[in-house]
Amino acid sequence: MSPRLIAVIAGAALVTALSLVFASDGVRNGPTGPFGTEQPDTDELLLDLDVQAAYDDDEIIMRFSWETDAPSLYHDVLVYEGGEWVVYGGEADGSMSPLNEDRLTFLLDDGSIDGFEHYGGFMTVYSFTRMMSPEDVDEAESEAGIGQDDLRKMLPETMEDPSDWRTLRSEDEIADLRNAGYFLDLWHWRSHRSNPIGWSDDQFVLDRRRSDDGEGAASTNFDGDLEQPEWMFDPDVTGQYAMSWERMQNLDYTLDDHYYLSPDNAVPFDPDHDWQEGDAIPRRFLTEPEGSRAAIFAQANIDNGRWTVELRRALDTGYPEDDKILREFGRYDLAPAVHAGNTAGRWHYVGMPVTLGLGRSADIEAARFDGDGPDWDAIEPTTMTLFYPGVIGWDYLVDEDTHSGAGAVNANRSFYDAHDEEKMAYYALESEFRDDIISQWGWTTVVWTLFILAVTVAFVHLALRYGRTRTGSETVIREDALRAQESDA
Amino acid sequence: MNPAFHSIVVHVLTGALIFGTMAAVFMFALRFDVLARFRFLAPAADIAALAAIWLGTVVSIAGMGTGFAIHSLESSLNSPVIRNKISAGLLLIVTYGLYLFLRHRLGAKIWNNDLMAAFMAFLSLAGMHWNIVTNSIGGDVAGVPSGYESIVAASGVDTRFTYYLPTWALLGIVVIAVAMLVLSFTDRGAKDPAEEESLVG
Repeated sequence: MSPRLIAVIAGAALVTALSLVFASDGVRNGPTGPFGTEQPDTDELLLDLDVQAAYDDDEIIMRFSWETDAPSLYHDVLVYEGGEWVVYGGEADGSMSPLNEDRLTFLLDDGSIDGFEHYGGFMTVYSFTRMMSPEDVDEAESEAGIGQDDLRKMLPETMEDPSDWRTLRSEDEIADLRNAGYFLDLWHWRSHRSNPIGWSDDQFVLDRRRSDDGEGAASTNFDGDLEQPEWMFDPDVTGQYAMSWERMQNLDYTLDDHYYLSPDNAVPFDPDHDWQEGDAIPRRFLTEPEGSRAAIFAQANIDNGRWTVELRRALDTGYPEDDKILREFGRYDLAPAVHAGNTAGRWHYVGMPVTLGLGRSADIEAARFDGDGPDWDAIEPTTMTLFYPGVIGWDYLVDEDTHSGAGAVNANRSFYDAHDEEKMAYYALESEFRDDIISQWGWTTVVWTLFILAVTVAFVHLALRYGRTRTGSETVIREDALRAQESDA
Repeated sequence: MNPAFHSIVVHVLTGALIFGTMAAVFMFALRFDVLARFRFLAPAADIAALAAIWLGTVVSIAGMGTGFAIHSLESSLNSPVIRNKISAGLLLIVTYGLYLFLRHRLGAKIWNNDLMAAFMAFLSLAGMHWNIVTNSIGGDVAGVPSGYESIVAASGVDTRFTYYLPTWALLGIVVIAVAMLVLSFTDRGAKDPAEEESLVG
């Protein structure tokens, strides 16, 4: 066989092999995305979350557990640098700062939100929501337009046109929706800003993410006039005036250390202390929350590389406009999310909704207990697969011009009819790079088409020269048959 | 458009192309002595392959049209799997189109050239591969994946991600393609050009 023919065949084989090896490489695996942010690796798109539940006459206890390689107990912090206190951490821009607290949240509904049972938290985010696109609405624009400086987590019915935040309903209509139960309860456990003193934040989602009435656990530990912290660690209680910035960056503190400030371990800041470069003081001061916002108690620990978080709340908190009131034999929809790996904002893992039943069949069946608490070993956990949700918003999902599954969404068909969590994670990751990927995909298809044409031309040209042409008794189609075909033609 | 109509069209083209591909592979296989006694079927198999692949290719174009009638172009391009489905569908049409072009350009005597016969069988099988990929993705979209994408994934391509190559790889492919053409058309091989032409007819 001709060496050139062999070279053509080898070239085709080489291109095929390389096209398999480097499939979908490049754009997606680039160091930064269109937001200038780092993205999770593809093998970090999923997170398993174990969920258990138990209840008695008065309370429900939700128990969550997930793997964590590097649990974060910190949020924002004041670091002494060059004679000044500099703020680090708490960035909600996806920059993967090592100073974002771990969080577990879940949205809870009692059937008031049509579609939540299938689409969960996707119903609360839009293309215009904070950090969902590089062109999201800035604070000044939303403040001027609807009197809100931050567009995050809105339910569709709070807008006359759910694709346009400017059509937000009036305050009276929003209040009526809330009174009618059109809101999602949001249990918001924070490893730094509430957990250390035994509480979870308690919020709800309506026209935005709102906090329940009352006071939250975390206040700002910074005196803007003096440009210094208001509180520091009590050395008699904690053995330290401040934490070590270096140890914080290495995630070196544990739950047994003093990594937070509260009235039990803090004293007023002493500016005359001999502060050293790298001294670090938490920017949050934790006090017992009050009112409706103080409805959820928290207890958490890290054991064998897993967070285990227990959240305890009264079935009936007495605040039906802030919380979903739970009852025995009730069935509810629950959609969890986890911020892990020092992420904030939308850089988290989310779960599609599951049902929670109190004495009823459900995905998560809360077991009834007597006494102080349940025997968790006797309650089988439900394992949910959480995934990275990308920048897929509700306005995109319901628009038939942009989403090929919009018809199914608008018909309120199950998410699982066409997707699963793993596939959704792939879609979500690509959603951040859509324009770049479409462009690269188009070029790839064009080049592949041209390559096939080129291979064919090159191969045929050589094959006609070097291919063995059968004659006589060896022919596949005999000459008389060929003549007959040509005659017919 | 009712998605069922697209499904009907896809089943028609799939059936036709499977039949045509089997006939083309049969034509290639006939050159082996063990099947020599069936060579009397060759003219019929050749025509059957030609007719079936014509039918399947034309209906494939119709199938692509019905697909876009179900989902808008923008929504299709926004979906990673549908992007892959479009690519596979286009390559299906290109591959079978080449089969038809060569068969008509060179005539039935193409089967008497061993290399060309092998290439024709390869084209038909490659087209069938793209056909299975695009249909399997279609099943995936409809919620009934065939599982073929799992086999494809074993080769390194996950059809849930958009298939694309980095720019440097695309440039490399273009260079290799040009090199192939240069190698081929600068060849001054042994075969008499007149003999080559006789095959073309």
